[in-house]
Amino acid sequence: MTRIWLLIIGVLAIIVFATSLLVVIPNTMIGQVRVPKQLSPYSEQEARGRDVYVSEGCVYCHSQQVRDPVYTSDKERGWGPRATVPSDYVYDKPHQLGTMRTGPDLINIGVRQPSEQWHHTHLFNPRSLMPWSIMPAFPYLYTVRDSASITPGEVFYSVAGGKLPAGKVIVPTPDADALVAYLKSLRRTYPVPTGDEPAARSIGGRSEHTMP
Amino acid sequence: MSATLPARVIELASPITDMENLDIRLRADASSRQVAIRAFAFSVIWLLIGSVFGLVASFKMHMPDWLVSNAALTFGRVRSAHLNAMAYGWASSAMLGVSVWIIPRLVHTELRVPKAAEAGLYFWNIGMVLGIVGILAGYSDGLEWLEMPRYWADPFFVIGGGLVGLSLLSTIAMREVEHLYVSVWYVMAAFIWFPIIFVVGNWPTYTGVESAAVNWFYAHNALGLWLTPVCLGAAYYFIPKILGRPIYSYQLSLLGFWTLGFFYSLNGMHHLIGGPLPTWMITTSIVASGLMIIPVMAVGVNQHMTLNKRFGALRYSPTLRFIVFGSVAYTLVSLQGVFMAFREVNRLTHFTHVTIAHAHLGLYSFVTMIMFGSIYYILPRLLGREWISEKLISWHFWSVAVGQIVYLTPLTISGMFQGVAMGDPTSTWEQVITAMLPGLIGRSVGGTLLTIGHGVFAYHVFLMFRGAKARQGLPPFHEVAPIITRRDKATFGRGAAT
Amino acid sequence: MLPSSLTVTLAITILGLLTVAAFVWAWRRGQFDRIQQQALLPMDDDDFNVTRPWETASQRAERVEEFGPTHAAATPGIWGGSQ
Repeated sequence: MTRIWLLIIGVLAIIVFATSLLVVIPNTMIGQVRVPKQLSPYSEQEARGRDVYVSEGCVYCHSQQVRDPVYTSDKERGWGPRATVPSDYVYDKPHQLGTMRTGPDLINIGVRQPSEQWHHTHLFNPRSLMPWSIMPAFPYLYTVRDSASITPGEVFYSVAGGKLPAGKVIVPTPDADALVAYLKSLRRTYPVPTGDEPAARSIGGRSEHTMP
Repeated sequence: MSATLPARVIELASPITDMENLDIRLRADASSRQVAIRAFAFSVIWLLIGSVFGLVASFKMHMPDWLVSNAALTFGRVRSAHLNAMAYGWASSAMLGVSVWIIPRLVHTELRVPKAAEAGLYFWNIGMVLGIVGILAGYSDGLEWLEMPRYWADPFFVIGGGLVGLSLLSTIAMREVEHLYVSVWYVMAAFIWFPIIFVVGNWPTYTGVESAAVNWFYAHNALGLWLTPVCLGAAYYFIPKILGRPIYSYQLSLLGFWTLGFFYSLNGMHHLIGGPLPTWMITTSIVASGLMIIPVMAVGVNQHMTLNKRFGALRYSPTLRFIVFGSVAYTLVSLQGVFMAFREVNRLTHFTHVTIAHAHLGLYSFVTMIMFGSIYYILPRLLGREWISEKLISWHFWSVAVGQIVYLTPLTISGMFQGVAMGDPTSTWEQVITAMLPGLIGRSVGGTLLTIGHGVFAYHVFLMFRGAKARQGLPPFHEVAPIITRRDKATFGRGAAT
Repeated sequence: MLPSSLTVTLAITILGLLTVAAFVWAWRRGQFDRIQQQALLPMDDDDFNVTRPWETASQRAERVEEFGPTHAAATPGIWGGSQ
């Protein structure tokens, strides 16, 4: 090879083609996804909680997607009544689909676990509820206080499992409140919006979802 | 020493046939010396930092109450600090050094605008510092492989990579050989591809599943179109050079280049198999992943045949030992990747630690080992002194070689058990955790061995730097001879027979 | 779906034809002549003329036949500063 320009053109052609195929064309198609009417945008607090979720790197252990029941046990595990579809994610930026399940899927955690008490004590120390859990504790999202110092109207939680000395309780920081609000908002149990049904065209009986 | 070129090389290197071969190499080496030295110094520092992050993250996986009082040390942040410090700090800085060093040699001229290359290296490393601090402070962008803050850190990588690329492209444009060797193709392509995919990956407008598609388009290409080509370019340079025999089939290396670019660039969506994306995108990536068998076999067969019947060389040359280790790992990891992209296999391995083991087989056993090998070849030629201790090299090699086996084997196996447990809806999550735990602990043991190896390597590099004084005149090993670690090294130099 | 498939089909066809054209052009211009000799590009003369300790006698003979005699380039200690 003696022609540098031929090499450069070939190299550019490869990347332009791949970008068109996997970025540009899908972008125009996904632009057509309609917003499900049961899905509301994140509130200010939920959005803040999502930022905490992102910055603490929850995605490295928790996915947010239910895959096709034909193909996986995601539904049988109780992670959601149906496979998730593109329109379930219209408000997600950045996406948190995840590629690892050291912990369970969270796309419907708001349905499975609506209790704030549960979430707060679990986040403060997961082993207070499940001794075998390997999820990190997040004590820095809470202040530990004497139960005597709690003023009326203040929200506090006691922690089981011997993870806190007697007479102490935890008070969530605004970040912890926001994170729990976000987790509770994770619900994708409404029926699949029209035009976003999965598997209209399947391959070998087990398919991902086909775009409208 | 002889100053004449073999007849065949003279034919190809027409405009400079009157110039002495040695002179060309000395001029080339001198021109890239400063940039390459700094690149390797930075890369070794990032290697150590990344090792500590990796080790902390690994231990946190089975010691979840360790170091939890500070947000900066939480698992999610330390883990992405590890990935970024290794992929962009260690591997990429080392690759910048290797690239600026081999390109002038291969095109028989000085590195052009070396100031731009040096500035690019500084930009890159400033971006690294900002990026890692940003991640630890909680300003992650939240996309795997793209965590470093989009506006604060990422521009430095585009500018930095672009400046080094500019210097390399000018060098290639001013070449004094007629033909471009395949290593030049690989390196040049990587430096054109990287800024493009990095900008596309970081583009701020995507939401929802499109954000996921772009995320994995980038993340897989970071490996396929940035790390892989430079490392293959290095392997295609060093293996023939040390063995003293040209690559087995040059045609095969060209086929490997074009198929690598075309198929690898379409691979990314196989990270989202089963996910809420259009089927055709994922199927495209699965097909492209299957076709990766062509470039992989092209490289594998080519390098094996070049080395064929000369495996004894591995005992003599540390460079060759590391690079051949890396090349074999490249074949293995790519074939593994092909299979993991098939839906039937992916169903078991997706969302498990098999993926993490696979990623380390690629980024460690392939990329990192090739970079170690390259540095073992280049650094003595930069500093004008031989490696100080064959023992340290030996400890480094065996520590990381054993470390990788201890790291990868349990993690892969228990990742599969994790997949089996997850696929069975009657198993509780406690059983899933129990299945993966031996692998997580094995990883910490393996990671400790790797870190010890890195410490030995860094110490050796430090000794090199501390004692480094460029000798007057020619360095003693400006010849192409491999660096010898065995006691019988003297026989090598004397060239007794023939 | 359909318009996108058409776009992709069209794009890959054009790109494929361009690739074939580039290949034919390169072939005609002799870019692939003496191609195996391009594998010698990274080699310097002394790469071929240094004795390698791992070589068998026949491998060495083969190399000498192809690239000329090995010369004794080094003196003891030249490879390691300490010895």
